[in-house]
Amino acid sequence: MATNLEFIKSASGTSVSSLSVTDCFSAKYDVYTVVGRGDFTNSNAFIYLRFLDSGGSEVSASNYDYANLVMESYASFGESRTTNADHLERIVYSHNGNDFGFEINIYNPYDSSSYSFCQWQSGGRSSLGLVGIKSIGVLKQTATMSGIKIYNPTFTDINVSVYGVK
Amino acid sequence: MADDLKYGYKGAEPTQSFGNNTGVFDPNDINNLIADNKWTTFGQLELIETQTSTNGTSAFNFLNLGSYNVHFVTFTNCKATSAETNMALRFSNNGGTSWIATGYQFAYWFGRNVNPLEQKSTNSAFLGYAGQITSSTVCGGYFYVYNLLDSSKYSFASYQSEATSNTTQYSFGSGVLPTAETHNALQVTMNTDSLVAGAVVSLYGIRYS
Repeated sequence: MATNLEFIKSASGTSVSSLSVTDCFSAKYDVYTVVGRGDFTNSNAFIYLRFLDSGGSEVSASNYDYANLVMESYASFGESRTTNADHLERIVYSHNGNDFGFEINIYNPYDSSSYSFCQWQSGGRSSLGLVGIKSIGVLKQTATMSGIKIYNPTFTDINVSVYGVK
Repeated sequence: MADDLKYGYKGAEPTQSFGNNTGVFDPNDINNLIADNKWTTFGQLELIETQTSTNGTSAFNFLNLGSYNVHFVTFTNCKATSAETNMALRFSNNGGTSWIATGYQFAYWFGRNVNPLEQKSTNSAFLGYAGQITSSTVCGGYFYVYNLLDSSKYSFASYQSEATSNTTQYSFGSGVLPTAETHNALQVTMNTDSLVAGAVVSLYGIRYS
């Protein structure tokens, strides 16, 4: 009997401005774990996330809410929160050449009767030092989602893997 | 199976990949496909090793990290011998002969019902702290650890824990050792004191990460 994390799909890219993992959600799982790592070329930038709908199109409607605790090793922590945004923000904060890693737990993305909730935690490094982020977010649409898109900076390299949680 | 009947096919053989294995397989085929990460078998949180403390254990050294890009570490039932201490990580670049004891950066939130606070360091001897414990406090939690074996990247971790005594405490945070090199051994340790018997620390690799 299969248990624990079940690999579904991974995607990777070099010198890309976004990375989509398509058709990774299905009726087989209710909860997913996404792990990612990479680097980008921008100075001190955030990574954003959008869901992909059942047809594979980006969900860009202003239906995202999120809240972040940004934890810096060199400064006071900061809170940020937004309602009705068109994306989830602050998946990672990092800097050219400083790398990053993140994990995201996603709940009910394929359930057409539920909102898609998620929580994530990440480590990146700005030009000044470590930046850790702990966050919650939701897409307030009762619709089936099929995947995710990670974007905003230009990624030197990025690898994202999606697992179903059994 | 003879090469001209690879996977039961004569001539062009089907391409094999995770989630898409086609044909008839003998044990050697399966072993070779497993080695090439092309055989479909679920359960990608793969246990590498579990260690259990005895009285006075002050570190759990994991010298075999497999070949994973992302590792997952769990710690449970951690209780200090006598003093207040904190669970943390250290890395090694020489297979565990020595442990890097400077240069870690971390930031974490320490939640409790009285005086919750943020903690940070730009040059620490440990990556943490994940979970404060005492001789009357039991703590459990986890770390995700990124890029340990990638010589071109910094090694990051994110973590979360909970401890219980008269009050409930929790912490979550992130850390990095900003040196791009291979870290081929991992130590789960504490910044002072030691543990009583019964703490369990497990190291997993997340395959295909």
